[in-house]
Amino acid sequence: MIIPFKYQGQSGIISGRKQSHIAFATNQLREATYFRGELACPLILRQALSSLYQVVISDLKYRPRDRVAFQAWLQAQDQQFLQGLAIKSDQLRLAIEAKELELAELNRAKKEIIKPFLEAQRHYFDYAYRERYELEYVLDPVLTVHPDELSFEVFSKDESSYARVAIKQEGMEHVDAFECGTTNIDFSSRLSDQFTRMRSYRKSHLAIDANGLTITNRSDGTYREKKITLPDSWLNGFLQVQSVMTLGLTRIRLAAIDAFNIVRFLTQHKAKTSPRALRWELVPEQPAKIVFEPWEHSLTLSPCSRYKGFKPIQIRIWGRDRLKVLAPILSTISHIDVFLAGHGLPSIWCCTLGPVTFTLGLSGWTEQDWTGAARFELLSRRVDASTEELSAVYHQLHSTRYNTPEEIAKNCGLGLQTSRSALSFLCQSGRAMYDLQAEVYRHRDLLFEPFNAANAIKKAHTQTQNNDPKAKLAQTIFQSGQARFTARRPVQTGYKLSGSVRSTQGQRVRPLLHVNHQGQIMEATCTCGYFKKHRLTKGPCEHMLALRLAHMTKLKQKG
Amino acid sequence: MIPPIRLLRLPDVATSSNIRAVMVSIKPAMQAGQWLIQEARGVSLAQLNDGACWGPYYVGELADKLEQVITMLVEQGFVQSSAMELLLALQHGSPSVRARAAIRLGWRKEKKAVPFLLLAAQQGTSDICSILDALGHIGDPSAIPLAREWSTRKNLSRRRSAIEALRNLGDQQGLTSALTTTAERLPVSIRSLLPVLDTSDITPKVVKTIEDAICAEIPEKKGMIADLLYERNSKLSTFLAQRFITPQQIRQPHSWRYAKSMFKRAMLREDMTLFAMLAYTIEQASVHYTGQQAIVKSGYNGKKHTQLIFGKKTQQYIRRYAWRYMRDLARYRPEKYIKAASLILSLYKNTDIPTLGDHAYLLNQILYNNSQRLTIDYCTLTHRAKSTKCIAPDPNIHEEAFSELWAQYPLYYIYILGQAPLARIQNFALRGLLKHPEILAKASIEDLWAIISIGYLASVEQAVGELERRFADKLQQNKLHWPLMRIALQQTSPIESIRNILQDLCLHWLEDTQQYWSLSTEQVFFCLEAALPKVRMQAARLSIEGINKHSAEQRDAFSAILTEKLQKPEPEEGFYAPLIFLAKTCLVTELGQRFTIDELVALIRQGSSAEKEIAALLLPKKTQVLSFLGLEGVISLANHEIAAVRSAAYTILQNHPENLQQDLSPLFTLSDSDWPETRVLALQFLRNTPLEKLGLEGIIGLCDSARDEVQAVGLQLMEIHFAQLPTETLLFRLAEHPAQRVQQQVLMLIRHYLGNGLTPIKKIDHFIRASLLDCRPTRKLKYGLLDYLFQRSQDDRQQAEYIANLLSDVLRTHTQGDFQRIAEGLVQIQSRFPDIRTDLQIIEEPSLDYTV
Repeated sequence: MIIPFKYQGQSGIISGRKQSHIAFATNQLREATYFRGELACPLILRQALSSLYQVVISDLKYRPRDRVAFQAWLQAQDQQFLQGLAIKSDQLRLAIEAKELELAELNRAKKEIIKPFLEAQRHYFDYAYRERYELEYVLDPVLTVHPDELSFEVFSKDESSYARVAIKQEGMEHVDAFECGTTNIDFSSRLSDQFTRMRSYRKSHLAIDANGLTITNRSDGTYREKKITLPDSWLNGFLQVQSVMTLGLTRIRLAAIDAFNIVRFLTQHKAKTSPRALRWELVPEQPAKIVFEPWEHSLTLSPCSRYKGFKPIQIRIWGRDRLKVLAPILSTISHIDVFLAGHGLPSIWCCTLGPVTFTLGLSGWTEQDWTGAARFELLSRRVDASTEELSAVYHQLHSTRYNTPEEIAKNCGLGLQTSRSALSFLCQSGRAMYDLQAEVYRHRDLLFEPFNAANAIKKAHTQTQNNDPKAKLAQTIFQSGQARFTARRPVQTGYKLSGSVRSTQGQRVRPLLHVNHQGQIMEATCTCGYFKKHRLTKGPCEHMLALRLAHMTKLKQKG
Repeated sequence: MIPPIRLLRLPDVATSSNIRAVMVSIKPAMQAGQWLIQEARGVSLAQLNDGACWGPYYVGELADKLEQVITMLVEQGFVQSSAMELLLALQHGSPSVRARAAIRLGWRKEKKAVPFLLLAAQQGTSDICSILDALGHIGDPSAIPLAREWSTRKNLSRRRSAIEALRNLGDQQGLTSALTTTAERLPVSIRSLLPVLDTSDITPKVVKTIEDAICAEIPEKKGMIADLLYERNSKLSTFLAQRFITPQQIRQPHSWRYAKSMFKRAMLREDMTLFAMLAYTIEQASVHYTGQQAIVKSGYNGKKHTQLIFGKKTQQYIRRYAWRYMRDLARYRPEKYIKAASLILSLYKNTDIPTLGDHAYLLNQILYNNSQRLTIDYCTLTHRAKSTKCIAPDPNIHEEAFSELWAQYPLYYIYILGQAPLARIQNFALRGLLKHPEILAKASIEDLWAIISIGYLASVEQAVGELERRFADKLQQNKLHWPLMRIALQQTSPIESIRNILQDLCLHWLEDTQQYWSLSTEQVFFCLEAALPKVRMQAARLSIEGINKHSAEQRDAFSAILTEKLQKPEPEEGFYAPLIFLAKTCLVTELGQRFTIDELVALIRQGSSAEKEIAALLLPKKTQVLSFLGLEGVISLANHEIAAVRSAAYTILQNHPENLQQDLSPLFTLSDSDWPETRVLALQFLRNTPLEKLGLEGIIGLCDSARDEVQAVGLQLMEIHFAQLPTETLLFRLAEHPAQRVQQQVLMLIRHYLGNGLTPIKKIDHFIRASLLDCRPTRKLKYGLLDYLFQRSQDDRQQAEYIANLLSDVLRTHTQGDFQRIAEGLVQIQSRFPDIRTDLQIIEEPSLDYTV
């Protein structure tokens, strides 16, 4: 998918003597969204935006080293060695050695002469690379203006990290004008350099509008256009993040020093052998403990990280080097809420920096980007919502911009489950997002085209049919009456659903779902081979989904 | 010594004499050096009892006299005995024997055989193709009715032989009629284009139209279309048929029979170009290909059966057949053999050797057929060395087939040298060239450039030597050999060594003939657009003298042409460098008069790179430039991506320093430019600016930069003017700087200038946290800061409490050194102010000092 971005101006920061003007140019091809105000905490925003930029350019996927030059050198050495062996005459050998010395000297001299040229060439390539890179590869952040906050969302280059910076109303000295909506902003490495010039002793005016900075040499009315090949995975990634956020997650609170200890350890140590997981050892009513594999180095976190669960658990997460992007914000963090989805599953790090929040979402591991095999949306969908219900929820959210599911259900006159289901659906179709910290749903149109509930439902069903073989299988199992819902046991945290499902191969397996009071799935297990092998890292198995369908049908029957 | 020639009289020749056999021989005469031609006659060659004698003749006239005698005998109804055997074979019962005899007679163009061939044509049909081919070769019009009759048959091979015979017989009417009939086999879309095909020349538009029409047909028909196009024999149709010849295409089961048909047509027409192409392509198509099974319909009984198409047997038969044809050419049409061999050799490329290797049968046969060191394996048609001892060739031995023919037509060596890129072929031709050095003088300039463009070093040296000789000859007559130089200037090569040779040649010619070409504007511009960059640049340098001698009008005209050229997009990076050099060196005034400031600015905005460079050269020379552009405009030029434009902006700024002193903001913008030299210029101005103009804000602005060198200048200025600056304000502002080098300075300022009380400490809260929670800290900074905080915590309770809170936040650090220091600091605070509570709890036990 090629997404055009069209900017009239350019993002940038102009620092004067008394005030600085921070301008973000918005995409002309999106809805007219603007914001003008004065920042109350420019230093915090500076650090948060630095971290955000670190996420944008982060690419930690493994790429084998290019060893062609080394191989060529090695081959030349071998050849030289063999040639040396073939020389019998000492006189000849001495002559060759003398020549080699002379050649080395000449090469050194050549290197010296050519050095300025190579230097200039390197500068040129750096410049050309940066220009092209920004125009073709940097995926500009998605900016959303809401009545209570302003947020920037990005994905890393390797699509394994998601970050969101949100500035609350309290983070602004005053707001002059704003228009709610979602757009993209022009973002570049030059801009990230300019962030470092933000200071608290200058009044910092933030302007987000179509003009950005007025650039002298663009006064002829030309536009700066980017045409970025936006991978489908980018869009899917956004949707997957939302799906994970709506699951029942294990929450741990960390102090700034805990984050510092983690990041500092990771900065100073590099694991050369497996396992490389970050192991969370959680014991009820005890401060959480983190173990760095393979050294088994453990960190007992601050008392605020006391685990509120009912049974001790261990969760291993991978791709921990991605946490280094938190380094710039460490000094401004007041606390971090870590949300863990489970073993090898994504984790969400919500950092509170006073009036600014920085949310970092990490996929299960670096190689598995957000759009990998794991299909979390399968777990988050609940009862089906009709076109009218979906449309009503969308328009309600659009008018209020953000709201809780309960409020929306009340305003639309719908049941809570239906309202949650519709909201979950909107999240997965890129029309809304879930704010994990504020625990509200926010309106956010990722897509350019206007919302049409009927089309969205149709598209989602087609996608499920085409892309999710597990969902299709689950439907088949359920329709053939092979999914039996056996028990619904209330527990402290919600209830547990157990059932018996006959798989397509004919064997009977026992899936179990642990659902919290909000209807979010906290835990899911099954006795099938697929679950034993992959757990939830590749999404739920068809048996869990079939059990879920059976449960939903029962809920519907009960009204 | 000429062997005796035997002649026999044809049985059907009506004569009263019973003499049937004659033998003509050469005998020495009585006088030394003279010879007699002796004729012996009889009823048979065994009974020669009559005769005559001519002579004596000298050796020089002997051959002519002998031919006269033979002609006389032929007129009397005698034919040579070998031909007689062939004529008799035409009456043989076996069609294959008759066919072979007919082919041979065709090669010999034996006119006397025509009645016999026509008679043989009545006997059967399986040998009719060979008979028609032979009749076509002989070219006797009496064969026309027979050829016309067969030209309308359905069978492809017979129709082909008949049509090609009609063509060779020169029967235009019959040929037109036959072609009209066969054209009906073409698809309608192609048939409608026949008038174009037969009349048009080869133009890309026409070729594309017809190719599109062919592409629209199903792939199975493409072979047939190609064959029918080749049958028409127009320039365009032959060209289009040639496009069909690719290894992938001809090996298709539905295409192969038509490829074979075209191959036979090429041989019948003696079209050496297509023959060479097909022979080479068939060899390529045979590599690693074992054929494909296909269901085919028999032409004899119409039954369908499965057959292997273009299998190994067919491949090898065709390859051997091609060489047999070449051999016959060598025997009966020697020049055509040399032509065909040259064309074939020129088709082999360096890339073929890894795939073809020793399987390049035709190549090896042409080059090594006479070799004593190589042997051929007829099963695989590969050549290999007889033994390891004789791998290297002997330069004195002619290994090529028919070496005497090559010696007869040595000009073909030039053709091969200019067309064949393969080293072994180049070596062969070069050896021939060295034996016949006189042919170089006969070679055209284009031939010599072709040799250079092939890039075989030894051949190139020969060609360059010849070119130098021709150039020097002309120069001796005080003339410039412009056609030669013109071509030389356009030449380049992908091979570095050849490029160097060409470069040296051009540079040397340019220098030697400077006085001629530098006077002509047209020739100067031609030299300035030479293919090689160094040559272009040297031409520019050498033309300066000539341009300086030009009159004002000429210089003006020259600058007009230069401007016009620069307006076109640059064909390659640096192509216009010589033009720009000339403009800079000797045409500044003329060019300056051609443009106003407005035009120059427009060129910088929208012109090509070269135009921008020229405009940048001229712009600073305009007196009113700053007032026209304004300071902002010059600043934007100083950030331009082209170095010359930036350089122009620097010159303008340096020429008007007073404008910068009035307003420093442009300098601050420039100091943060992406371009190092722009930054250097701005910093140079700023360094020399007095503090009154710079102010604290200016220094802070420089320190705030993200660039190291700008920060360094800021810090340097701060040190210089430190005494006049408000230190505490400076401190608070620098404390927010994220760079570590600045933080070191801040610590120094804090130690000496931070005011007393809690408020100043609170103001540097961010700095303290950033330093303590830095993942890559400097120990000096961190420990220095901690020591300072401990010291301040002892001042009063408020500060102690604030610092204790700060330290409590970082107490749980897992950095051992930090932890110990922080803990000690907290102990100090709690010892001094016991009511202050922190996360550190002091337990009064001798074995345990404190616990967290």
